[in-house]
Amino acid sequence: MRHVPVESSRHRSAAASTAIALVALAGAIAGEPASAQPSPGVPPEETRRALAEEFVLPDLGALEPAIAAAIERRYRGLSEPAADGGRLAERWARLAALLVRYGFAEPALAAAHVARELEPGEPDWVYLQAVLADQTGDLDDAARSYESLLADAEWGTLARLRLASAELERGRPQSTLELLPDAPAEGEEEHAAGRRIAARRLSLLGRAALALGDARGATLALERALELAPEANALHYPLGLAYRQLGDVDRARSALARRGDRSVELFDPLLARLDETVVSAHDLVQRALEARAAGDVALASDLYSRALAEDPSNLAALRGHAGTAAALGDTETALRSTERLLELEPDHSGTWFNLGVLHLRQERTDAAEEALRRALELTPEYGDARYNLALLLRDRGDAAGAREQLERLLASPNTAGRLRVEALETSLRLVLAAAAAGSPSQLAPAVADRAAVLAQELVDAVVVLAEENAGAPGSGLGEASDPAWRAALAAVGLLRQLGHDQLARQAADHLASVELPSAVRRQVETLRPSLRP
Amino acid sequence: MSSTKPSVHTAATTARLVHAFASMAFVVWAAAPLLADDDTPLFERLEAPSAPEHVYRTGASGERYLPEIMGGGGALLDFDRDGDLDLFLVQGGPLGPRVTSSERPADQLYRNEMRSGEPETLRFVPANGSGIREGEYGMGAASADFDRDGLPDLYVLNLGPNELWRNRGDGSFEAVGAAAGVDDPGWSTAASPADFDGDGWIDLYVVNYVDFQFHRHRQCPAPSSALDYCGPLNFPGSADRMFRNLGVDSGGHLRFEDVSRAAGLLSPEGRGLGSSVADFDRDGRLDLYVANDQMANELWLNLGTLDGRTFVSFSDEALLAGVAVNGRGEPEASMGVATADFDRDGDLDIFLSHLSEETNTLYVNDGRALFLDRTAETGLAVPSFPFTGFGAVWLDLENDGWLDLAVVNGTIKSIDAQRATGDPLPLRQSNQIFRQLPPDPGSAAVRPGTTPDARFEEISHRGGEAFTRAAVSRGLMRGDLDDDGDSDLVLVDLDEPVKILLNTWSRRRSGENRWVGLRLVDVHGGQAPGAVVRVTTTNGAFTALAHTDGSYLSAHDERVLVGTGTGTASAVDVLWPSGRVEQFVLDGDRQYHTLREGDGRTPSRNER
Repeated sequence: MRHVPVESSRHRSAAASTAIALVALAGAIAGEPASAQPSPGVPPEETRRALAEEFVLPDLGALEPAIAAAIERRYRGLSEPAADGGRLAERWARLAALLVRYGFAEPALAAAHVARELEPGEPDWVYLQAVLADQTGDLDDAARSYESLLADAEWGTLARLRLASAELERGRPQSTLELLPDAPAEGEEEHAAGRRIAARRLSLLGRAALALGDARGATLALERALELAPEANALHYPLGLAYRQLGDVDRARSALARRGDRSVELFDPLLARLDETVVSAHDLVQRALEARAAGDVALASDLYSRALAEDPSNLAALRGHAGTAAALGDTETALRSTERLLELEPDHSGTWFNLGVLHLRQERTDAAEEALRRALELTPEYGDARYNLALLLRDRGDAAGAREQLERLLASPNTAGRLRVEALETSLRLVLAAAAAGSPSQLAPAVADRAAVLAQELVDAVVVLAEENAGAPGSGLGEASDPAWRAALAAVGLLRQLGHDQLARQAADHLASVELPSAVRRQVETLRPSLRP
Repeated sequence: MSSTKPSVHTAATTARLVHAFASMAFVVWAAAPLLADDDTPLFERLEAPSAPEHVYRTGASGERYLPEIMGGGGALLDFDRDGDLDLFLVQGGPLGPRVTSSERPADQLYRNEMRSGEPETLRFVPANGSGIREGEYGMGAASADFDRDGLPDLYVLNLGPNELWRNRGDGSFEAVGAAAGVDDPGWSTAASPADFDGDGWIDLYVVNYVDFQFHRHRQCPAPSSALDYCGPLNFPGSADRMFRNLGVDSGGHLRFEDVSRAAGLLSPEGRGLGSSVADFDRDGRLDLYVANDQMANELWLNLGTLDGRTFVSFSDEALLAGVAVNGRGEPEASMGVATADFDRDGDLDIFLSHLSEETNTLYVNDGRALFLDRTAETGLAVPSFPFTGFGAVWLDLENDGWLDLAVVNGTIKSIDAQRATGDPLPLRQSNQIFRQLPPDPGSAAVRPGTTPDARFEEISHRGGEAFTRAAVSRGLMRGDLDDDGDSDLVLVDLDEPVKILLNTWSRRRSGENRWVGLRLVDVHGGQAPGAVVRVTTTNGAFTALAHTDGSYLSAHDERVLVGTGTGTASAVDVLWPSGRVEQFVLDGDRQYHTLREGDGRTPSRNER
């Protein structure tokens, strides 16, 4: 091999040296050389404590307190005898699993090293160390560990797949091809886990083939991988490049346009066992998402509750739980979940907006206003938040405040579509209400002028909305009952009432220029003859 | 010729010639001697008082404003046309909503006072009469002869309005950015000057990063530490600009026109940090590659002048070309960009520097602007995984004919261990040099576009202190500062003195490999960025791009320096940006030649 990756050894040193120091310490305390194999039984208390004290726990300051506490609890537990007589190595491995979940890859690798050195003959820890080394980019170290597991009955298949992947990342596509069989193992594709393994194998074969210039082979493998794992949209990218290499530009463009970031997920039983909580909560959230997509909100809510029982700080579960509770009318529960979310992500403007809406539902207008203003502070262009704040102020009788919010909303180029229509209609109604006149023709000139401008803008906004939604399924604009049509017709009528027949005629013509529901078109046609050209 | 763009360009003849030019039979280079394994570092630092005493000041105040960690760079240019390279360096300084420009240290132009043929007299002194006064927070610079007076002008990229400094020829410059219409007010990070429309005037493409506003500033939590710098996706993107050079009007004023929209070049979400102009698809028109941070990169293929428009149009074909995202389909945090024909197959390949845990990326061109990510196969992936790369240049360290890479690093997220020591800028990483290994003797011919034998090895430990001591490195310029025929570097580290790094090859091994240097002058007497040269030697041909753009926040030596190994250069074919192909006979190598468009011989059809 000509290439010596200097940096990988530099990179590895931090984690590896920690582990080596720890093991040396453990051996010294036990009165044995460091290379001797420690007993897998319960180590003496001083050994446990010394190992834990030597390990440098990373700064957890930025983590959510509950998560930091969980890591610290698991770390402190390393010094204690296990209540169930469990293995110390397993506890170190559990710490590694928790650390890597929260982004502490190097300390996780160091913890895995300790587990491996405590029980050198245990393939589980070899595999764990390999996976973590893989994640930290030390592919040489990972590959060595995977290679040692190829014949292992339990880890052989996964180690082979991961090694093949590492070889690809190390620039050895030929080695990837040689490691992986072309054909599936017998019965492999008959169960979900086997299909994922087959899809992963095929995806690696496809990428290796592409790297070696075999575009035809790459398309065959990647197409089959996508049949087995259609959710793995990351495969569309190499597939597109393979079609491109074959000169099939149309298929290439089509595949490239579908590229995404989901690869073929492998279920890893070791990491699952080491952190059942995490995996369990994750799976429950996935099931909840599927239930929600299928329209079963009650089931989704139940699944989110169970996920939170497993992992109270799971953001996806909290978000989903709040949403389903709100959908089911359980505002109190939704509020609790939303407030918990804000403890974890205080700068998320969407969550503040949701809190404001929930408070509005309960008519707690002061709390709602505070939440909406916080959302706007974080995201000044948050149109829905500003509109809701305007409605809140209007309903509270603060017409000036509402008008100010609406003006800011309408001044933003981002206020478009239905929000723009609604904001204009509300603004128009506020102007008319403030005038408190008997009829539009009695309005003060300035108010009438402002109303006329808003009415024209309203018609324009409805026309834009209709054009943008032309042909869009479920847009609702096809129905004559859509509030946008009613608002536009009312605006044309207002212009006529204000004596602006020419403007009303122009607005009606503008409205008639888009595809209108027949009932709306009849009303427009009825209006037009009465207007001076 | 296969091409991904519509065949709307009328100059079909030119396109055919270009194809013939570029598809000359590839010659496998005989194995060159390996780099000597002696103790002399590859680069030695020019020390004070010969080196400029310039420190790029970040102004880091603890607020963690993103611009603090994104500067700075500069430009290499021979502003006084005395034959050697001078140096312009931008400055940062205090940063904050109430900081005024007068509080900031000034950018500085340095004159190279080396005596001809005496590299040991290399010395940079402040060019105090330049008249350049910059109060904006500086990022980088570009250089080109925009007004066609034969003198390089200077375009300064700022956080805030950019400035164009027009070279008066008497050692002073005049600020004309606003009057010329190129005072882009955004946060600019790169610029590619080139004559995109072939009208003889050098146009200007300006890359903008994000819409940074102090009133929207906040800090972002890192997973393993306290509050830190926010990444680019926390800010709205900022659109790049294409300025068409309208030339000098009757009053002597240089004018530009913003043609971004008309040219189809507006991508408001782009968070660009680098750009490179070159004819990637070899159709005779200059294309543009834009490196974007944490989002897809763009490859703007030049479609020529459509429908009687006054300027050329572009179409982004990066996704199909395979250079939008890496080989796994993932967008990366692209920072520096370096373009060259590293594999000697006649087309231009692209190297990008990236964030740690992403690896840098090498896109290899198959000659049709269809690229494959060959980072892992060439050995460049694993060594770059822990590093966040910024400046990146191709250079031939020992003139063996195989281009090597220099990449300078410095992370953007605090390193806990450094922060724990109280380091005010805990982002330090060491820099890297990758040497391209020549193909094994007797190996099969290299297949264009597949480069099965291309391989790099990291030799950073041999680079000298600038490559072994950790710093926060950003701008990296390449040029032959002492005119000794090898590529030197200028490195800008944050809050540290700028480093002039002189290549020691000419001293160590000057008796072996050969080289030729080329200065290209177009038919109007100006520079020719985007021109491609093919140097014919006794041991095969070498293709090289004339350019000053690329790397990060930097502008390079406008001259083309080609290492030819043991081959003696005899002739050069030049494909000028105008589309003209000319052949020049060289009367010797190991020297610089000036090639003027129009003075060469037009090769016959058979010769092409």
